[in-house]
Amino acid sequence: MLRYVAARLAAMVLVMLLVSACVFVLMRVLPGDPVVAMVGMMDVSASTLAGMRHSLGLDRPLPVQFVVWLGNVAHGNLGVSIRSREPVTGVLLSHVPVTLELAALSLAVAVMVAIPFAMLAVRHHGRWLDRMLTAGSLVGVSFPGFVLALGLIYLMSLRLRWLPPTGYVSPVDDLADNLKLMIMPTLTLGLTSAGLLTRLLRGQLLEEISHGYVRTARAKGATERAIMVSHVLRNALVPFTTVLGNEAGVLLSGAVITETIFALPGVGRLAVENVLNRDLPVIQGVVLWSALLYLSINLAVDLIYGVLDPRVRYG
Amino acid sequence: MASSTHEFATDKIGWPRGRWLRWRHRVPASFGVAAVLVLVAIGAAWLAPYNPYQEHVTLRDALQPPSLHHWLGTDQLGRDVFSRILFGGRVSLGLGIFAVSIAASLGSASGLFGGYRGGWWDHALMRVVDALQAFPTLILAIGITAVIGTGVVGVTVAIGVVTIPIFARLARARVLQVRTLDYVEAAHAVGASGVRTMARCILPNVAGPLIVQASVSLSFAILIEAGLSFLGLGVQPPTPSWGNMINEGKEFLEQAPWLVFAPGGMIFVTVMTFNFLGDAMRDRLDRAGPA
Repeated sequence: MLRYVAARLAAMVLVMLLVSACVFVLMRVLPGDPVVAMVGMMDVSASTLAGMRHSLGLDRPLPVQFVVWLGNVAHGNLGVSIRSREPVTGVLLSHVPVTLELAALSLAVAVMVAIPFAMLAVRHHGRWLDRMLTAGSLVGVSFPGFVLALGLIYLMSLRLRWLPPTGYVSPVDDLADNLKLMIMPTLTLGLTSAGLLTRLLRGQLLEEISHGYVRTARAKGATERAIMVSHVLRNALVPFTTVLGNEAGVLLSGAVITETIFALPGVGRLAVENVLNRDLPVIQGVVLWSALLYLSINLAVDLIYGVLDPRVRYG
Repeated sequence: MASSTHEFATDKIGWPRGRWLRWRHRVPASFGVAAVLVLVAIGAAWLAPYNPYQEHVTLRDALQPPSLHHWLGTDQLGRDVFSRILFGGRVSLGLGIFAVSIAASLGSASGLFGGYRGGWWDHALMRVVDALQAFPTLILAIGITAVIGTGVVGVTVAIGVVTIPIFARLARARVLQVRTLDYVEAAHAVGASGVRTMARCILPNVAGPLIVQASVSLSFAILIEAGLSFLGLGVQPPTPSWGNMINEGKEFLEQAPWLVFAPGGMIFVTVMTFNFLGDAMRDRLDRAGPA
């Protein structure tokens, strides 16, 4: 087990190095001089520009720049935002809590919808309820999140006037207002993920239910409920966890569109704003953060397999 | 729980069986809808009742609700929404099809080659694929548009880059399955070259899942294009795309909800059609058995 974790961590470091190299090269091939971008409209002499370039190390060979940059990244120093002049690490960390809250709430909604719906569909397999639920989950998968978000704003805020349309209040300041503002973004992301998860879990449950152990459990007199919950669901949760982990990775690295629509100051919105402003150090930071998070969650999911299914052996 | 074991085993993720749409009809049905969508996009210039770029900035013409003259109403500049949706479909679908075709060709070719040859090429390819798949799709796509710039070229490259890895991985995995089969050995024995073996023996036998993936990736590409254009990072106005139409229309959500929900509905129908087509083809392939 330890050997497996060590091997996976080593592979992850390798991929992160490749990812960093990709990000570094992409940002360096950009047309335009970062120093000129930094001084903006100010009238600065050529010698001052050269001095700035030297102090930032931009006049050194690319491989040297990469190693220096990598060293800084490893120490948590992602550079300074061109626009706000604040350290990127600080900017990034200030946006993480919003994304974290949104991701946690959305995943909770997704799981609370997907598990009962998939179990209901399997219980009524081939009948109208199954068909309705399967159609509903296909709609969930195909429905663009931003159309759902705008639909919710139109209905809940503009027509019924039940909820404020956009904005963010920290839960520390006012928990009730925070939750009120989080309802629509959470539903947008949760329901879209629920579509995918329901489809997958329904398929897995149907496959598991056809196995011999279910017949054995029935023959031994176990109730349908006990069979479904403690045998079938538990086995079907293994692939379900992979996709759930993937969804968690996507949500935690920033639900770009949802955060933008609902004006939530999360990591995704940070990425979009800075692409529009061409603030490359910040984009670089967001992209690296996303990749690191995504890979870590995938590793965590692989390790959870062993807990869910003791037959899984790490080799 | 009345269904037989056979049914459970074969009907995995697909549509529950029913009289109203039998599974054998699903491929032609969804293919038919997909063909209509593509034909409408191609024929937009003939089918559109108005010029999609024609502005009429008078109070009378702007933000008109759907009527007999303007089936889906008009936008804030008095342009006919129905005509813009037809032309937007040409951009959204055309761009998606183009990007996925390029990505599928490059991804499949490199996966095929890597799986067949093995060695350093295969290792290098898989590490690049790992690196590309380490990013959440939209974040990677946004990073690419940050580098290349917004507009049609940026979006096409972004969709291409995020789509290549899945084809490379899929093609490689399938090649590893068939590489040691008798007919490939036979081709080697009669002296066929590596390229000929790959093109004539292996490719036809691994193409099925790749075609299925192309359909699923197309729906994905349309969603990415719509997402990027919605964020203002994709196709730029006045060229209509479904995503940027929604982006422009969201400012008028209260007075003119059709500006958002008409293109949104088209994205939904198109994505659902290609998802459905992919699902149906996958089921048919599963039933037909492995190559």
